[in-house]
Amino acid sequence: MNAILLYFLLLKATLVSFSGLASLPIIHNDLVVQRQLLTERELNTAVGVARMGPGPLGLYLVCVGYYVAGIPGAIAGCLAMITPAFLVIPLSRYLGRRADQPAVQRIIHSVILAAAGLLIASTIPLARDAVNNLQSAGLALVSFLILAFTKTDTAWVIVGSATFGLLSFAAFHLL
Amino acid sequence: MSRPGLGQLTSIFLRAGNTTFGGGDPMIAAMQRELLHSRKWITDQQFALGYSLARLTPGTNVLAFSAAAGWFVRGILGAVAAVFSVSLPSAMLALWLLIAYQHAQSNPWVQAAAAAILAAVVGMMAASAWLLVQPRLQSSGLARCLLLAAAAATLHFQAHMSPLLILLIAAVAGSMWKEPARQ
Repeated sequence: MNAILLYFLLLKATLVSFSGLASLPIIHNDLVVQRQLLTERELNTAVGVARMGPGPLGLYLVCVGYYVAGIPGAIAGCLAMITPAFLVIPLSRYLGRRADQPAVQRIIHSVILAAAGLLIASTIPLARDAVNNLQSAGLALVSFLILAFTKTDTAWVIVGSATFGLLSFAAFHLL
Repeated sequence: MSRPGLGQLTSIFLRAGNTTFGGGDPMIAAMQRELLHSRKWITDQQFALGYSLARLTPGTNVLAFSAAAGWFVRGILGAVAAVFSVSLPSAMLALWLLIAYQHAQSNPWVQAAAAAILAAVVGMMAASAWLLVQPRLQSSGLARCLLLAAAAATLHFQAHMSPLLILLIAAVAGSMWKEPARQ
């Protein structure tokens, strides 16, 4: 796919999402379900790989871009990730302190809550692909509990699960 | 106090953005320390304004915060320098990790590690959804949170409604549906 078109597709997702992985349901719908440019597994891998290093959650867009269109795609993904950030300048010029108004906050809260629901809905097909036995179900559950209820860094969960995968592979095949 | 140079600004954002793990909030905390407490480049009011506007700006909060902080310190060039220094090095690392993974993915050891990571990512996404809901339980009320999230999930998963349309409906619903009065 053309990197410029990809940029606008990804930008559409980042422009209507307000936090973390909230853009993922739109990416999932556009690239996996509608256009089939990306598989469930690739989207899942993009999120996992991006979390192995430092940086914002939105970095997975770089990996999504690379899967769809190579290096130009990765650049498109990176630009789609950062473009909306500059909207803060006109916002602070014209909205300023009025950003704290209850009506504005209420709209943002509702959009974020709906995005959380959408995120759960798009986790289901990814889970069907990645969770296929007792071990992976346990890993998914433990990862959820650690990240939802403790302050542990995501990178540790990624490193920990990789170590667990390697150890259980070694135990199964070498013993 | 003299205005800090673009180079100084870049080096602060390079450090805060690319050595802090764990996504947005820890990164913003690191920038708050560097920009406000250690150097006093921005004021308390500017920090608070940047922080609340960043939540309102689409996309990644920490990038919008960086744009705002860079803009307060050095204008538009400051905003561009801040956003690129926060995002580019970690973006290049993520890309490098993905390419390295693709080269190694036929190795059974790599496959075993990757399968475990993919399972953990499923848990991570569910946790991310929970972390979107959890801070709003207090201000929006449990019923409102559950209803909005469940309605969005059902409309998308069962009725295959487009996510964009669902977010728009949520925005309209939010503008009309008053939140419960705070005690």
